[in-house]
Amino acid sequence: MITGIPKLCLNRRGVLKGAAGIVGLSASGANLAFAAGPAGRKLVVILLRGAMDGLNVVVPYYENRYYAKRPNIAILPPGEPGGAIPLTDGFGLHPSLPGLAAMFNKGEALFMHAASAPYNERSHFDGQDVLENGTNSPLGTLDGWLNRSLTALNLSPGAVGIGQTVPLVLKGAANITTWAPSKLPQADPETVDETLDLYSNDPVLKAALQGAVDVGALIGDLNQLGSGFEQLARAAGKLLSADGGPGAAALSFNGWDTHADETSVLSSNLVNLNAALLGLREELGSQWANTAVIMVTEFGRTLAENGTKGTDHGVGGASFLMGGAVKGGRMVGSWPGLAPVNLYQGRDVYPANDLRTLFKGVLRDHWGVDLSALNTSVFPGSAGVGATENLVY
Amino acid sequence: MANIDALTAAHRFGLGARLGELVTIAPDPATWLNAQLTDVSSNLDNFNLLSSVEAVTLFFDFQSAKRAELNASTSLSFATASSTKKTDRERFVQFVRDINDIKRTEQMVIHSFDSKAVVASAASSTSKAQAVKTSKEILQEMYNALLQDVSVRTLHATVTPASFRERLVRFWSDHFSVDFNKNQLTIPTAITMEREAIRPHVTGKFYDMLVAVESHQAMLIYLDNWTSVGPNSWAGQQYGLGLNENLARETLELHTLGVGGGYSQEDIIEYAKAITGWTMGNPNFNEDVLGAFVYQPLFHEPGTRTIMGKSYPDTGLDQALSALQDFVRHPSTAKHIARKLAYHFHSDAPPQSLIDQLAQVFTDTDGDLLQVSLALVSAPEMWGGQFLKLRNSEEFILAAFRAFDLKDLTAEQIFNAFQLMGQVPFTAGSPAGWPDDEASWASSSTIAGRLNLSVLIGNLIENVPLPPDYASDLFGTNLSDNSFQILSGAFTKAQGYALMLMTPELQRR
Repeated sequence: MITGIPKLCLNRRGVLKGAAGIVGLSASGANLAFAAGPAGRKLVVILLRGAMDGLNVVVPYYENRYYAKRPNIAILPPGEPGGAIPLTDGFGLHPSLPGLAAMFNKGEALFMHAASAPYNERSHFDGQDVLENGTNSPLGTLDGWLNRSLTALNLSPGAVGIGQTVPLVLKGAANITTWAPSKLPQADPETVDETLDLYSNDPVLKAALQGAVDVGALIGDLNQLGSGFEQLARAAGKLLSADGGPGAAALSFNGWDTHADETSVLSSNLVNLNAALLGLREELGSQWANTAVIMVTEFGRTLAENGTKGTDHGVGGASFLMGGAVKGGRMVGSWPGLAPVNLYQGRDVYPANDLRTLFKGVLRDHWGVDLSALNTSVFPGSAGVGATENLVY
Repeated sequence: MANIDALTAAHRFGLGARLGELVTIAPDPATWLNAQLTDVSSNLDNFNLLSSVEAVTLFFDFQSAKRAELNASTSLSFATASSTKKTDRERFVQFVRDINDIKRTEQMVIHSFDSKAVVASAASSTSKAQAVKTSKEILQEMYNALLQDVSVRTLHATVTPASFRERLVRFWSDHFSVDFNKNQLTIPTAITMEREAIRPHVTGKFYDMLVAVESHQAMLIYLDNWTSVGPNSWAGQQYGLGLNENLARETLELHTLGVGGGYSQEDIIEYAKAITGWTMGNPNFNEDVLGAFVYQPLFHEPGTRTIMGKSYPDTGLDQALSALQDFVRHPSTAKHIARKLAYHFHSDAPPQSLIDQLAQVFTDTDGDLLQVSLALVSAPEMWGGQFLKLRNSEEFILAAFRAFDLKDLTAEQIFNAFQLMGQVPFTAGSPAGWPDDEASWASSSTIAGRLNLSVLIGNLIENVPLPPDYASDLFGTNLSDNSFQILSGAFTKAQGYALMLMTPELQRR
């Protein structure tokens, strides 16, 4: 599926010359009537697609087996050249994430290792489906847990999907909006007005175009917010912090499938991720204090490096919770360690922590979603899966 | 002045009017449509596009080159694709390894698409006597083939006088949706299916189209059947592969009977077993027909299958063909196809009488798509009335291209227009195809995007009639006074042409 930022080639040979305009038509809003979030609280869900290697991001540097199994690609302990940034409990953060490490050490981020959605089969697509649909099977539901949590609230705070496609986690009955960056020159205001007049007898098209105009007026031109994933993250922050903006945003960052040459691929991705997280915090401004950011991936990767200086699909991975509303500075959940007997099928980090415990803890304590709704409609059949306590203020 | 029937023929049945086209349609719109069903061939045979066999072969060349490069750069030794003198067991181990080595295309295609390299590879491909190609060069050829195919398909739709036939091609292609973004193997192969399995049968028998599709490499790859093995087959007794029910499920749920059409999960599994062995020649098995469809008995689940209460003895390839024949004749299939046709060509709320009539013809003619298409043309419900259906984004682009005869765009421009409008052909992302309802296309981002693209196109147009006259030519009596006045009051001609593309008369059909 094509996601991300389209590259404009329409005028690369000077054939199509565009008139640059000023109206922010780049945004979309099918329904602008956002309620304020529960107690003004904001929620961001970041999906790292492709299975991020948790062991090289949140590094268990005290584990000898980590270094024994990864002779070429391990992140060195803190203090060594290019070593991990120390966190707590013998874990360190990849050196390309200094901004995230600072959040952690300031008490605004916590990490859950050895985590997984209830799916252990190592297919990207099925794993992402389970992660997002909130059940224990790829076809469990065709809508997502974030959308269903909006429905579970009496007054939906609204949500926006950032990117060209709506992620599964946000699909469903509750009305959501989308925004995607556009590299097309914007139509000039006169032409926009004339077009609205064309629709004086076509209320559907009129409402659609008017929605785009309104979002443009609400948050200005979002296309000037950098590039790549940082642009998406900043756009999310700007939309969430706007007066009358939505309560939740979901966005995807692809490309974590590091089967080969992991050292350079992962580092490059993490540099972008670090910039994106700092950009998100900057755009949220004072709303950062009311925000929780859940960042997850479909599964982790093998403990051992493979023959192409990368890692293959695993099970237990690293997950992240950030924001001013988060009781951070610590690791949560249990850590099974890397002893052979404790590995999943002898090769992967054991999925000791069900990601739904993290989701439920945040939805209940940050947004006030009723626990019985979490156990039934939001995460169907999950009454046996608890909510992690004490994640947010 | 064109009559309402000519407008219906051009816009509701076809892909939108070209300048002056309504005049040629007006004398007998139904005959204009029917002639396209019997007289006009559009198999795109003359454009030197890749065949499916060539496309699959190109991928295996890519995989082989990639391996050679890895072997050269590391001390590790990966087995190469050579399979001479190997036992079946050794071939199978390598087959599993090859499958697991096919990379997902995680990033958007256009990011890995370097337009300069396309020009370079297009220029160099004429001189074959060069050194061994790198995997990067072959990957670029794969993207290049895809780009050229999208371009040829689009420009053909832009200029063809047989736009009803092209609509039908797109309808059936979407009915059997495949996605080139699944993995690197689908990049060059997905798009070949429309040319090889859809176009030849678009006015033929539904059964023939169905068999051509279900045995086409693009579908076998997209829905994973080429690596599906029966649990009790020879291959099922080896380690590494098992039954995959993906294609079986979608054949019943999407391609024939439809959801709730009268089959069970057990029927899906039984049919999935029947089509084990429907695969293609690859470097490990059947390499003598590399890239072509083959029936591989080593993968086939032995035994009689029972599907929806009927027994199908193990006759090899014929076992599943018999099942497909019965699927076509199942009453649910006629209803499913009829409803989709009516929904697509009429409106989001088609009259039941139209659906019933199409289903009846489908049943009476044993799925003769010529007769079904003729029935659509002769159905009174299709004529007159309002133009309610919102064009999807590909249809919008084609209507705009046809309106202004934009036949000189480059392949990159065409591809990017689709990408900017959010509907690149063959990327529906689901075997169910693109959404066909107004709510999915009348979003703010979509309509705003169409306006921005229309402004770009409006600036291209010169030496044609003034906007209100142009719109009168394209929309005839359907052009509203409101639209006519706004086009007449445009500040510039460029703005007027942009507005013309945004009128409800062009957005809807």
